[in-house]
Amino acid sequence: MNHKLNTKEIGQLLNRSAAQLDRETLDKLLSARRTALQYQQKEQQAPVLAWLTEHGVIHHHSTPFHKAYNLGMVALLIAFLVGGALYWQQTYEHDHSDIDIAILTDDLPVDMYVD
Amino acid sequence: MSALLRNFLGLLLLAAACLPLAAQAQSWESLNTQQKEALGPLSSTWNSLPEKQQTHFLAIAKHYPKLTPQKQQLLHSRMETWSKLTPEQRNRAREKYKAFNKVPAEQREAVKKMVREQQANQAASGTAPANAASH
Repeated sequence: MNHKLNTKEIGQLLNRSAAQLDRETLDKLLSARRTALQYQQKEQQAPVLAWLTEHGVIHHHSTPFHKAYNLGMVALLIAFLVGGALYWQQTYEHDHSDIDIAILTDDLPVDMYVD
Repeated sequence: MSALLRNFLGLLLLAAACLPLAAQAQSWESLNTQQKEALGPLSSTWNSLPEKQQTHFLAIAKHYPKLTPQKQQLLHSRMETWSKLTPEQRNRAREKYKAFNKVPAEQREAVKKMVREQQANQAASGTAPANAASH
C-alpha cells in the first residue's frame, strides 16, 4: 500500500483514468486546456503586441484576412511613428528662430555674416 | 468585423487629422494681426515663400512682441534681405554668427567699431554703404 509511484506509473494511471471519463467531462477538459493555452500564448507575446491584441487593434486569429489586416495595421502604425518623428524633426530640431533673431537684431549688418 | 472596421477608420481619421500639421503653408490673409505686424515687410512676398521658410518666419514672429521697439525696427529692416538668402547662405550666416560670438568680447567690440567707422566714412563720402540693403 505504501508503494511509492514513479513518474511513469503516475502517467499510466492518469491515462487509464482519462479513458474512463465520460464524453462531456472530456469536452470540458479539452475546452479548459485550449483556454489555458490561449492565455499562455498571450503572456508570451511582447507587451506591446499583447496590449494591441487586448484592445483589438491586431488579431490573434491566423486566417489570411486577419494576417493581411494585422500587417496593414502594423504598417500604418510604423508609418505614423516615422511620419511623426520626421515632422517633429523638421519643426523643432531645425527651429533657428532664436539665432535668426539675434542675427537680424545684431549691431552688425546681416551682410557681415553672409558670404 | 465591426471592431476591425472601427480600428481602421480610427487610424484613417487620425491620419486625416494629422494632414493639416504636415502641410503648414499659410496664405498672408490667414495670418493673425500679431503675425502680420511682425512679418509686415514680407507681406508682398509671403504667399510665394516656400512652406518651410514660412514656418521659420512664423517662429520668428512669435518672439517679435518681446523685442524692444529698436530691435523690432532692426528686424523689420533686415527681414526681406534675410528672406531672399538661400537656405545654405542662412546656415552659413548662423555658423559665422556663432563663431563670432565665441571671439573675446574686446575683439568683437573692436570689429564692430571698425564696421561702424567704415559705414560712417561711406556715408560721409556720399557712397552708398555696401550693406545698406541689409539695414
